[in-house]
Amino acid sequence: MALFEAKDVKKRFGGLVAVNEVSLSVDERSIVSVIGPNGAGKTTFFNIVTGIYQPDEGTITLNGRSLVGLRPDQIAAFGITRTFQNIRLFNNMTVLENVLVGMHTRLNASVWQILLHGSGYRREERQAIERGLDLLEFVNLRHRADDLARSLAYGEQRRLEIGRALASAPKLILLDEPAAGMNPQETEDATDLILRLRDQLGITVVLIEHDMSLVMEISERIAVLDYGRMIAEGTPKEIRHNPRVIEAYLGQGAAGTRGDTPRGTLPAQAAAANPGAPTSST
Amino acid sequence: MSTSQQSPALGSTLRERLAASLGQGVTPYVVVVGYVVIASFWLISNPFSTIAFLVFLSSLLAIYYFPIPTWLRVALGLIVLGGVMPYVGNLNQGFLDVVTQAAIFVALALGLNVVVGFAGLLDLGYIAFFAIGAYLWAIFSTPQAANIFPGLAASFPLGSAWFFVFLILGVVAAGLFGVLLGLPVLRLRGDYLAIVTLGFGEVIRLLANNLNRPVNITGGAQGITNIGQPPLFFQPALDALNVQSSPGAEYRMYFYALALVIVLITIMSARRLNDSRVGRAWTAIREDETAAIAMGVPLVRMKLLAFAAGATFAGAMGVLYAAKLRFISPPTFDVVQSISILAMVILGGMGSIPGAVLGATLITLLNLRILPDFANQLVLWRRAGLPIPANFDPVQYQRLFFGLVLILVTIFRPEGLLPERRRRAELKAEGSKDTGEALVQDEQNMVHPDVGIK
Repeated sequence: MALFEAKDVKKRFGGLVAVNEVSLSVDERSIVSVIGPNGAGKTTFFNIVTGIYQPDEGTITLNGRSLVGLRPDQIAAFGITRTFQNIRLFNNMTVLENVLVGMHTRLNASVWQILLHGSGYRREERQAIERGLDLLEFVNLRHRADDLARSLAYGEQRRLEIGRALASAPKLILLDEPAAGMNPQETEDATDLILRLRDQLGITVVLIEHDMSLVMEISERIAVLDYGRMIAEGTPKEIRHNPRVIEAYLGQGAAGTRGDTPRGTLPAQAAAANPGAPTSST
Repeated sequence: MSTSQQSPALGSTLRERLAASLGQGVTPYVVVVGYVVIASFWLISNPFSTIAFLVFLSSLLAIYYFPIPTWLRVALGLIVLGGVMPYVGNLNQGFLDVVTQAAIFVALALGLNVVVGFAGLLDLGYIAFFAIGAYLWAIFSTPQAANIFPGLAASFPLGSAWFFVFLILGVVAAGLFGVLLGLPVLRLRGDYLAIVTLGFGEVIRLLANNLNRPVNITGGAQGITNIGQPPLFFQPALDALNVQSSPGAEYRMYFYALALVIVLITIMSARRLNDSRVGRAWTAIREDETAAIAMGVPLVRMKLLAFAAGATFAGAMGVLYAAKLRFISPPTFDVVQSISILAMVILGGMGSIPGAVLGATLITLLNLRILPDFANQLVLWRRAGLPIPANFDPVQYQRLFFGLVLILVTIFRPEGLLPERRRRAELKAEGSKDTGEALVQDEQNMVHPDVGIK
């Protein structure tokens, strides 16, 4: 059974339908990419899943339990966390503190316990710090634990965001452009880290990414959004040869108008033995 | 203030600089102990000298900032506040009153610091919680309460033994009102939040002013007089020890001790909250609300908790204040007071606990001691023939000085006198990116004398 399931999710902003009947099913311990041109509704979809926006229509479930109507913090506690496209760390907190904030839902100390500073509370704090340091080890930032987040290099900040998202022990992690703005070496490190999320921690990953080589390399399945609609879903191979995908990406460069019929002939398209890649329920 | 549990990551650079310049040997011990001894004797031999008093009080800063072990800090703090200060108080009641007054404002500044400094929620109506504590005890320790509960008229006013119960009730009531204020303003930020809290503060003051009709609850504009005092439970002990003292002096000492105890509890509470998951959540909310909530921080609960926790400090001090002054009326709780407390927090450094303590003490001293003394000095100088205009009275210009101090601080030290590390980094980084990184680098390279001291 799928771990995560979104069905016919729809979100309107005034007259604009930002996300239109998108359905996505993600198996446990898999890596799924969501791709599409800018403004396709990918980040909006993430915002809906994490509860920052409420969907107008559709259902979203994790482990069969509905997430619609839950607040973002409840969804985080329930097992979905995320990173942000434009890194949103707590800049003036230390690297370790950033991770500890992510652990908020896993700590139980009440205000009274905090004020009384009993041994149970102190143990919990100690364990939280140990776990935080372990997580920093995992994202290779342990040596910077006491530095302010703002002092980290760009690639380190991206890693810290992932570390912070891991702190709540999620089942599913949503990565919004984890390799954006990275050089080839950093991209390789990021790819490696994402694979380790699944292989070592058993976490399911959904990511938005524009770096096609990364997407094609690590994704088990890929969903393609365009103008809020899901125009294709399938394995990397299927997506690579899907005419609608090619049009969505390359048709953009043309006069800015789009027809419903595929334009031009691309080598990949010509070679596609199986043009009928499964499309979404549009 | 004297117990040091600060994590090394948030160590203060002033202390580190002192440690670096004094070395780790016995020098700091000698300097601090020497300072305390000399300042104490100076004040005891000149119990009416404001300068000696200020030098004496600043020995607390030395105790806090010099690199000495915690046990010595606690011991010296006890000697200064528990021994020398009460002794001086017997010689000059005025100074004891000033310190008690300062302690009241320290607790208020610490409470507001939780809301504004920790959680970043600008609250301009904070004095309302102080009013709630004060009116609570004022109403129930006078016949005023009989107006509200005519059926139980015989049981009011409540006896002095109830004071301690009401100290707790003041905390609870202020906390509840904190939540009450928090609920409608949850969605507001910045300016909008400030305006609504300002309104809340005024509503409470106007309620106090007008709730004398149809049922006289608050005494209206006349306020409430003859408020009950706390029980002198130690009287038998004093009699047994054959200590002779007037009730006035006893109460003065009593309130001093109570205020100090409450301040100590507030410092401990503020500190523990700030170092916990709650404090981290507050900082996260201040930094980036959206990211905080996406990481699982329950925004509503944490904001309400900040309002409630901040309010409780003021509630307790309100009860004490009413019992100490024995008279309260609405003008005591007007918006200028809220602004003053905010100014104390800003002067000390937002989010910084030692900053709030210092800011509140400095401004109270400025208002109660330094400006009036300066005025007296001017009179003396004029009599001696110096050309000072006859009707120039610095006390009249209190607010002017106050404003000047704040303007100077915001220009030259926008992060406050004893800034929290985060704020300092924040403000420096806004100034220039390079300095921000240099500063961070700087902090990494510094020694942390506090490591290992628990």
